[in-house]
Amino acid sequence: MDLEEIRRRLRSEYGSGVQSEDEISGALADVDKDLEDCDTEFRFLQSRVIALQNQRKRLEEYKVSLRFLRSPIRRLPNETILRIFDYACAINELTSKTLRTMPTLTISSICSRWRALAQSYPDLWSRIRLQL
Amino acid sequence: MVTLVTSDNEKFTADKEVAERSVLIKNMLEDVGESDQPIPLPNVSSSVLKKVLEYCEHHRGEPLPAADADTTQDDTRKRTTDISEWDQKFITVDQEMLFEIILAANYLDIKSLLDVGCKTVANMIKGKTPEEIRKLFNIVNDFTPEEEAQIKKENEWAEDR
Repeated sequence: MDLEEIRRRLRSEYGSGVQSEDEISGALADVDKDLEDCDTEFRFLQSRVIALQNQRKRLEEYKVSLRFLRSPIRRLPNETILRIFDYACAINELTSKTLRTMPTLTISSICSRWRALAQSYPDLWSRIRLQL
Repeated sequence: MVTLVTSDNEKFTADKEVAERSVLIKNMLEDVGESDQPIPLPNVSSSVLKKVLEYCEHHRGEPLPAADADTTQDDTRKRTTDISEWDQKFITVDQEMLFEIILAANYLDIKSLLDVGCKTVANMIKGKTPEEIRKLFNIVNDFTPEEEAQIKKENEWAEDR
């Protein structure tokens, strides 16, 4: 592919600078093939980028999970976690519009272990206040 | 004096009155009788025991809670998360140490220290959204899509879900 040469010919007088019809057709066919190759390569790279983005997302999730495995709060036994819940859920404002004032519901929305523990302790769910 | 040996093999000596704020150590001392034998504490590291002994030393002489305190305490009093000024300063440590102290208090059976730790964590939880709590404690949302849908349904009334 010689763009400079094509430009030179385009700027030249019609006649001596003109290639034969066959020569141009052959060159066009070559260009079409190269364009097709480019598109194929582009699609391949695009799918590779998407694959790498997905891989990155998975690695991030894996990293977060690994960090959680060594999270100090995970080491606490169930009875100690329930003791914490007991203090954290002194009262639930049932008529409020925010989760922040409904600690029992908040706690049961954190992770499966906390949800199971909160649900196993009915006392937490009975501490409610209604603003009439 | 009592000699305590930590998981990393460090020896600490403490007054019997201070060490006996731990029900575990008190019972061990009663079991072995008069003896100079060091007491092994395989679940407590030296950095944590140092903090625990600092707490016990400060609260030396204070009445110990009754064994059935949990069931006899008034409900409202039981759930207050107020912490004394000294205890608050004492428990202002990084998260790793905070949970180590809670674990040690649980193992050594020092109820008042366990309560200080649990109240501190409870105060960290209070007033936060689920996402804020997960972020604070490095907790992963491990719900199944079905559980997630159920929680979404439960919390759909909330403006800050």
